[in-house]
Amino acid sequence: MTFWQVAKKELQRMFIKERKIAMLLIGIPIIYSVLFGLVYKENAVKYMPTVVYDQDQTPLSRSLSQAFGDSERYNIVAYVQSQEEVEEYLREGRAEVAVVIPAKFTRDIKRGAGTEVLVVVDGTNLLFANSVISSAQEIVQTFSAGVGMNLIEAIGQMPNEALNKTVPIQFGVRILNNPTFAYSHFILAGIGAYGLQLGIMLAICTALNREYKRLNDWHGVSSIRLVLGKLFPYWAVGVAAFVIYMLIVVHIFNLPFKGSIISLMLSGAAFVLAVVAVGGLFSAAAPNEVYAVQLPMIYIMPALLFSGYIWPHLAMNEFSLAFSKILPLTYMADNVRDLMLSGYAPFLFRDIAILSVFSVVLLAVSTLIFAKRRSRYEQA
Amino acid sequence: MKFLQVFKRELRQLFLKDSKRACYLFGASVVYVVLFGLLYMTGVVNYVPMVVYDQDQTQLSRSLIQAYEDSDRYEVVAYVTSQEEMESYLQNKTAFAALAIPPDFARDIKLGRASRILLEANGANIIIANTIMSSAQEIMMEFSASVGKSLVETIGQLPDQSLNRAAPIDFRLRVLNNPILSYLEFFVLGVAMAALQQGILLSVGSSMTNENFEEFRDTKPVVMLLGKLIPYWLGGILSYVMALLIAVQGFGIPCRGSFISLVLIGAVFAATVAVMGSLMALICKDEVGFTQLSLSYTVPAFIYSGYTWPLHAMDSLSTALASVFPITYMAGNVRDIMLAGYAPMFYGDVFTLLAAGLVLFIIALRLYSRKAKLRISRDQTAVV
Repeated sequence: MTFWQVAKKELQRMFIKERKIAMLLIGIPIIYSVLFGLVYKENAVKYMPTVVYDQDQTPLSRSLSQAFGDSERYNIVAYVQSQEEVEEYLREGRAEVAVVIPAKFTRDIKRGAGTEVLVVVDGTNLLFANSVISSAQEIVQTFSAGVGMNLIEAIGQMPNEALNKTVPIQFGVRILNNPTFAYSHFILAGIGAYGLQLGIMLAICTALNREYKRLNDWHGVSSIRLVLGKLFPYWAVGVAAFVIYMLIVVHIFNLPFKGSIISLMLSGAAFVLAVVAVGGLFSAAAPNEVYAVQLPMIYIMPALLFSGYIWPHLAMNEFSLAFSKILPLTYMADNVRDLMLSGYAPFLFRDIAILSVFSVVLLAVSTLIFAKRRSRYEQA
Repeated sequence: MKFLQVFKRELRQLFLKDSKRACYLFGASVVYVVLFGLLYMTGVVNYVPMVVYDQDQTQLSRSLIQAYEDSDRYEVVAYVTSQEEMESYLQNKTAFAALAIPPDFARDIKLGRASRILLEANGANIIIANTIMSSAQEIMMEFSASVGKSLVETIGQLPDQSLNRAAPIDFRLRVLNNPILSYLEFFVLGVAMAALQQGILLSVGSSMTNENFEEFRDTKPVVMLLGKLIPYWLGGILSYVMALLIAVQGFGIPCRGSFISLVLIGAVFAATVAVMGSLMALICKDEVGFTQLSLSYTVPAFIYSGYTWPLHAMDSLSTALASVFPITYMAGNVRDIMLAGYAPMFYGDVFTLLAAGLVLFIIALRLYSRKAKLRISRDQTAVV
C-alpha cells in the first residue's frame, strides 16, 4: 500500500466504518465553540444584584445611588434601612453587591470634613469582584470630582480651574486589544483550541493501537508509511475543524480578527500537527486501547489552565512554567488570541518552530515504538 | 448473589483486577488539587512588567513613577524615550503596561492647568488587565489627592480641610470572603470538584462496561446495582475528603463552614454521579467509548455550573442546560461553604441532588434488569 492508500483507508474508517471518530474530531470543537459562545455572550458580568443602604437620604446621596443604578453593571434590587438587612441580602445570595452611604454624607461634604462610600462585594466568585473593581471606583470618582468642583466653585474659582485643582492629574487608561473587557474575546479562542485538542486526542487514541491486533492487514507496509499514513487524515480533518471553529467564533460570536489569515493557518496547522503527534505517541505506546485514551488525560485536561492563556505565565512558579512548556496549547492559544485582538503575535514564528520540532520528534518516536512492538508481535 | 458478595466482588475488581479504577477514583481530585494548588500558589498577579515614558523628567514626575515602582503589582522594566519605543515594548509583550507622562507635567500642575497621564495596558488577557485597572487607579488617586492637597493649600485652606475639598468623596471597597482576590482560593476547589466527578465516572464506567452480567443471573437487580455502585460511592466520598484536606492543610485554603455540610453535599453528589455514570455506560459500546463521552462532558458541565461565570449572567437556554448537570448543585456550594462559611442554596441543592439521584437510580434499575434478562435469554437461545 502507498502512503495515500493508507491515508484513504483511515479516512474511510473515520467517516464510514466508525463514524464516531469523525464526530468526535469535528464535533467537539464545534460544540464547545457554540456552547461557550452562548455562555459568554453578554461579555461582562452585568446586572449584579445590588442592595443600597443610604443612611443619608438627601438629594446628593440619592444621586449617587442613581449613578450606580444607571450603570449596566448594577441592578439595584432593594433599598434597605439597616446594616442587618444588608448582611441578610448578601448572606442569602439575594445580592452580590452592597453600596453603603454613611449618615451625614451631604453635611460632611459641605463642611469639608470628607466622607466615604463603602462598596461591599462577595468575593467568593472573583468575577463579581472583578466586575465591581472595574466599574465602582470610576462611578464614585466621577461623582466625587463633580462634587469637589461644586465645592470649590463656592469659594469663587472658575469651573475649569476648579476642576484642575480638585483633580489636577487627569488619568487616562487606555486598554488595548480588548477595551471593553469583553469576556468572550478573552476566552473563546482558547476554549475552541482546547476543544480541538480534546477532539483530536479522543479520536486518535485507537488509531495505531488497534493495529497491533491486526498486523496481518499490513503486510508489506513499512511502519513509517503506516504511522504517517494513518495519522495524516487526523491532521487534515483537524485543520478543517480548526477553520470551522474559527469561522464560528468570528462570524457567529463576532470576535474580531485583525491578523493575517496565513499566520492563523500556520499556527493552527502546527498546533494540530503537534496534538496529532502526541496522540499518536500515546496510541503507539499504550498497552491497550483503553489505556490509549485514558493515559493522556492528565496531560490534556489541565492544558488550558496551564497554557498561560488564562492564568498568565508571569504569575506562574517554576513548576507550572515547566509543565506549561510541554503542552502544545501553550504555543498556540495566546498567539491566536493576539492575532485576533491585536493583529500581531510577537512569538508566533518562534512557537510554530517549536511545535514543528516537537511534532517531528514525537512522530519519529511513535514510528520507532510502533516498529519495535510490531516486530515483537510478528515474531510471536 | 447476596449484597455483600456483590460488594466484595466489586472491591476485588476495583483494587486488584482493574486497579486503574482505584487510581481514578482516589487519584483524580487529589492530583488536581495538588496540580492546581501549585499552579495558583502565587495567588495574585504581581510584577506586571511596565515601561515608563517620562517626557517631563522632574522631581514630581519621578515621584509618580516611584509610586508605581513601590507597588508590588508592577515591575518597571524599562525607561524609554519615544512613543515608538513604548508601543514596541507593548507590541512585543516585553511589557504589559506603559506609563506615559507628558512634557511640562510638573509645570502645568503648578500653574493650575490640567495634565493628563496616560496608562496603556495590553488587555488581551483579562486577568492582567483587571490587575492593572484595580491597582493603577488606586495609585493614581492617592498620588493625585496628595498633589491636589498641596495645590489647594495655596488658596489658603488648612491642610485637612483642603484634602477633603480636593477629593471629598472617598471610595472604599470591601471584598468579602476573598479579600486579597486570590485565584488560588477561587479556582482550585472548582477544578477539584470537576476532577472528582471525572474520577467517579471513569471508575464506574469501567465497572459497568466490562461487566459480564451472566454472573448476576440469580441476583436481584437492586442488589446488583447497589453492590456494584456503593464501593465507588464510598471511594468518591473518601477521595473528596482527602482533596479538601489537602486544599486546607497543604495550600491554606480556608474552611469557614461546617465540615458536616461539606461531607453531606459531597456524599449526595458522589451518589448521583455514580448512578449517572451507570446510565452513561448503557449508551456506550465499550470502555473506550465511555471514556470519550465522559471526558467531553466534564469541561462544559463545569463552565455551565455557574461556578465561574454566574448563572444569572447566562441566558435562559444556558441556565436550562445548566440545571441538568449535577455539578451545578454542588461545586458553588462547596466553594461558598469553605470561603464564606455559608451557602444560601445549600439545602435546596442537596434535596435536588438527592431527588435526581433517586430518580436516576430507579431508571438504572429498570434498564439494567432488562439488560441482564436480555443477556440471559440470548445465551439460552444460543445454547439451543
